[in-house]
Amino acid sequence: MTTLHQDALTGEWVSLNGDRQSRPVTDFEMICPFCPGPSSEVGELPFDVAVFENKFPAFRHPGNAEVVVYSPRHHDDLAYLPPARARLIWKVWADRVHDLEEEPGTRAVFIFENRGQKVGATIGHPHGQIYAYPYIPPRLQTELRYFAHTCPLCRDVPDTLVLSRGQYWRLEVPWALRMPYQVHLVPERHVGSLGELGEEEQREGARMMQQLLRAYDRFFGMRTALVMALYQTPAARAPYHLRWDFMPIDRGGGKIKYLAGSELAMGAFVVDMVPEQVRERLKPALDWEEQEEEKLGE
Amino acid sequence: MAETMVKRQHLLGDGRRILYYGDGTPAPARLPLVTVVTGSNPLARGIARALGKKGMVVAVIDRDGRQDPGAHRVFQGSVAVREIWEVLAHQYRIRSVIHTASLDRVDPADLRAVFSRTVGEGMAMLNALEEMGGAPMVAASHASVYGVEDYREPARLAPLSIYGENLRQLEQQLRLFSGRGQWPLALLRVFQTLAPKDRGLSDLWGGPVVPAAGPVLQHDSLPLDDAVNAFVRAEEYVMSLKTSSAVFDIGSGSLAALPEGVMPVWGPHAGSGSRHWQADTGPAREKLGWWPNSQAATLWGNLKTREDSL
Repeated sequence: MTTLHQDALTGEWVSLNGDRQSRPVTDFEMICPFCPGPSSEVGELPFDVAVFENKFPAFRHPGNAEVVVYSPRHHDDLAYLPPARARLIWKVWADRVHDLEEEPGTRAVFIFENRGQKVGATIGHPHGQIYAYPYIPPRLQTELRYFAHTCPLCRDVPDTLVLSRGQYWRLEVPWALRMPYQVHLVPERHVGSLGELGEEEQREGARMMQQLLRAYDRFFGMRTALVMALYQTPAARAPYHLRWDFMPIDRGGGKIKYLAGSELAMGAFVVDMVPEQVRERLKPALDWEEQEEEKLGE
Repeated sequence: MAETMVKRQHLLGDGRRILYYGDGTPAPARLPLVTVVTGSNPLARGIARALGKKGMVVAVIDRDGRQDPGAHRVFQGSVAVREIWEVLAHQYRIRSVIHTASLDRVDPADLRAVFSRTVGEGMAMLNALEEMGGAPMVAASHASVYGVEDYREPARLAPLSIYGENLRQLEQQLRLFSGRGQWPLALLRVFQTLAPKDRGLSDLWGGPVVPAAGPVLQHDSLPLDDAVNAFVRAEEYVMSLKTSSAVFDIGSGSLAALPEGVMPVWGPHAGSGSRHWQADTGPAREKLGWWPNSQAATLWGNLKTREDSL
C-alpha cells in the first residue's frame, strides 16, 4: 500500500510503499512478464502498444502509475522500432496524459523510461512508465517559477550547444549539465503539454528522439543506460515549455556517473564535462544516424 | 498523413485496467540483418573484412576491441558478456554467427583460462543465443580435436591436450544446442593457419613461425586467406541448411615439414602414434565448394626461400 509522507524540513512529498520490494527482477531463466502469454502481465490479446496499471504502483488513488509496453516483442527497443511505431507510442503517451489528467487527484503527469538495468529497469522487455502524481514534484515546482514571466527555452541557442535542428524541434546540450552527455529535445514552438503537439510536430519529435537514442548507443558502443523523461506543464496548466530530457548514466570508458554525496545529500550536481565537449563528442554519432536514416527512408 | 489509432480497454484478472493500442498495421522489421563474427584473432578479422566486402553488415565481438574497417560495429568484450548479445538483439536481426573466439590466444598451461575461455564463455554465448531463438552458426574448432564419430582425419584419437579436450567439449555443446534449437551448424576444424607477418609467418596467436633444421612434424598447414574463404563459404552453406549440422576439415590437404615445437597444442604430440596429419578436404570441396589455393609445402617453401635470401 502506498502512503504519502511530507518532509517537515522541505515540504517535499515522498511516496512510500513497503510492498514494492517484492517486484520481480528478470533474470536469465525467468519468463518475461511483458511478453504476451497466458500468465503474462499483458495477457494474450494481440497489440502494438499496451498500457496497464502497475502491479506495484508508486501511486494509486490519488494518483496512478502505468506501464507502457512498446511492443509485444521482447527485444523491440524504442530506438530501433519502425518510425510508424514510434509515432504510435507518441500518440499513446498523449492519450494517456489526457486521460490521467482527467482522473481526480492528478496534479502532474510524468512520462519516463528507465532504459537498462543500471538505471533501475527491473524487467528487460523495453517499456516506459507514466506517473500521475497527486502533487507537483519538487523539480517541476522549481522550474515553474522560472517560466512565470518569460520562457527560458524560447531563446536563441548558440550553435555550440545545438546537436541538431529540425523544423519543429532541436536537440541541445543543456548549459547547466546535471549528468554527463545530458541532452534536451525541445520543441521550437512554445507548447506546454504533449497533447498540444500537432501531427507533424509529433512525427519529427519521434524521429529525432530515435536518432538521439541510437546515437548514444553508437557513441557508447552499448545499449546506453539512461533516464528519458518528459517535463511538461502540470494538470492545472501553468506557463511552461515542454521538453524531453535524456540523462545517460554512462560517461564513457565503462564508467558510470553515480549520484553520490553532493547530488543525493544536497541536490547539488557536480559533472566532469562541459556542454561543448558533449556536443563535440556526440555530434558525429548523431550525424551518422541522420545519414543512415536518410538512406533507409521510411 | 494522419495515422489512425485504435484503442481497446480490458481488465486483467486482478481487476487492473489494460489498454491495447494499435494503428492497424503490422510493425515491419526494420532492423538491419547482421552477421556476428566473434574472435580476437587474424581469422576473425579476415572473415569480417571478407563479409564486409560482400556488402554484408558485420558486427564483431573482439576481446581487444580492435576496430576493423570490415565491421559495421565492433563490441569490445568476451562472447560471454550478455549485454553485448542483448544489444545485438535490440539493434539488429542476427543472420548468422561465426564463432572463432574459441581459437583466441590463451596460455595452454593455464587450465582455468583454457576452460573458461573455451567452454565457459562458449556456453554463456550459447545460452544467450538460445534465449534469443538461436541463429545459424559457423564455429571454429581445431584439428587437435579427435574422437567424435564423423571426424574425418585418418586417425581417430582422443584429444592429446587439455586445450584439445576443451575444444571437444565446446564442439559437443555446439551440437547439443544446435540439435535442441534446430539451428544449422557448420563446424570447421582448421589446421595450422598461417598469416604473413613482417618478413615471415605467424600463427593465429600472433607468434612467429620459423622453419628449423631440427626434428620436424609432418603436418598440414594453410594460409589465412584460404581459411577465411572457407568460413565465408561455410556461412553461405549454413544459411542454406534448415536444421542439420556438418563438420569440415579445413587444411590444404597436403603435408609439410614443420619444426618440432611450433605447435604446442595444435597437433599430435608424443604418444600419438602418428606424426602425420593431413586434412581430408573432400567434404569441404563437395558441400562448401571450397578448396585450398595453396599447398602446405609451398607455404613453408616460400618462407624458407625468404629466410634464405636474407
